[in-house]
This record gives sequence, C-alpha cells and structure tokens, in this order.
Amino acid sequence: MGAIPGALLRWLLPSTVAANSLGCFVFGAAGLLNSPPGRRRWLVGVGFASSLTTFSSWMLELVQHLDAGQWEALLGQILRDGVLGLGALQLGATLHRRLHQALKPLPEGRG
Amino acid sequence: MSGVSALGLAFGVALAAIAGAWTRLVATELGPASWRQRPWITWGLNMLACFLMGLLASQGSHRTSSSLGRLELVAAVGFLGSLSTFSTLMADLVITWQRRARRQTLALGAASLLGGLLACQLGLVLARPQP
Repeated sequence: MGAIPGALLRWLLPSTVAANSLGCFVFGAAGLLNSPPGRRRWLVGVGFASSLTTFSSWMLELVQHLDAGQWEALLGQILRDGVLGLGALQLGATLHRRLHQALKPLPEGRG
Repeated sequence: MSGVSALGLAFGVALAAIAGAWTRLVATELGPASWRQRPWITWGLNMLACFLMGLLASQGSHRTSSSLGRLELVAAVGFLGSLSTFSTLMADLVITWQRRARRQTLALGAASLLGGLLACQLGLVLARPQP
C-alpha cells in the first residue's frame, strides 16, 4: 500500500532528482539500511520509498543527454544525483540512529 | 484536464504502482535470495524497467492521441516508476560497501549505470518507426 502515496507524490514533485533524493532520505530515516525483511521494510522501503524514487525515468533523462551529445550535462547529472542520493540516504540513516539513541530509555538507577 | 479525468489518472497511477511494487516485492523480498543475490535481482528489474521505459518513450513521441498519452503516463509513472528503484540501488551500494564486498559495490554501480543506459537506448531504438 505504500506504493500508492509514493507514486502519487513522485507525480506531483517537480523533478526526478527531488523524488529520488527524498526517497533515499526516507529509506535511511526509516532505519531500513540494514533491516531484515519484514512489514516495515515492505511498506516503507519496497512500497513507499522505492515507488517514490525511480531508476527508469532517471535513465531516460540521461539517455536524452547522451542522444543530444551533452556530455557535460550527462556526467554532471550522474554525479549530482548519485551524490545527492547517497548523501540523503546517509543523512536519513544518521538521523534515525541519533533519534533511536535519544529516545532509548536510560538504564535503571540513572537519570 | 477536468477534475474527473485527473482523478481517473491518479487512480490509474495508483493501481499501476501497486502492480510494479508487488512484482518487486515478490522477486526481491519474498524469495530465498541472500543479501549478496538481492541487489542483482533489483538490478534485473531496473534493467527491465529501463528497456520498457525506452519503448514507451519512443512510442509516446510518435503519437498524438491524448488517451494513449494518458495510458503511457500511467504505465511510466505508475508501473515502471514503482518497478524500478533508485533508493534500493543506493542502499545496496552502501550495504555492500559496509560489508566490505567492495568489488560487488563497484560492479553493481557500473552495471546499473551502463546497463540502464543501454537498456533504455535499446528500447528507444527498437520502438522507433522504420523509415
């Protein structure tokens, strides 16, 4: 069911890079980077985040640069989108880790 | 576009997205694939989606019918957008790197980029009308 809001949100967003970066952030922030298969992973990871992000539209944009002989634009977009995707994923994962640590109950006898 | 047709289009995109996500869920998560195999199943689905996107984009650029344009939009945004994934690819690159399977990280990154460009281009060329 997560696929429905993911796909509809991507349709509304102004660009593929915005959808891909946001989806990577959500994937990391949901703590899915090293999570085992399960409902949360299926709903948020496979459903929402993966439907929000798209590899096929990204490739179509790159092929259009390739066909037009726009090599600088092609390499620039690969670099920009790759860095933004990895950065957003790591940012989300760091945020998840920090929140998880902050919300963890203190051991008895402390605090 | 009227409100009713926009709603119909959104409904179509939603249904197609379920089909795309369900296909990927069954292929990658519900089978016995290991963490080493799973990225390559995702890779295969991404390549298939790129090829189909090429076919669709080529068809779309040669048609003028608005109804076909809508059908292509539903297929591209809904089904192919959900069948292919950028976030899982990024996660697979990070996970293989963290697990010190660095050759797999590099192979997956290169195969995704080159394979995706090739698959999309192949779809575009095959669907191009013959002169």
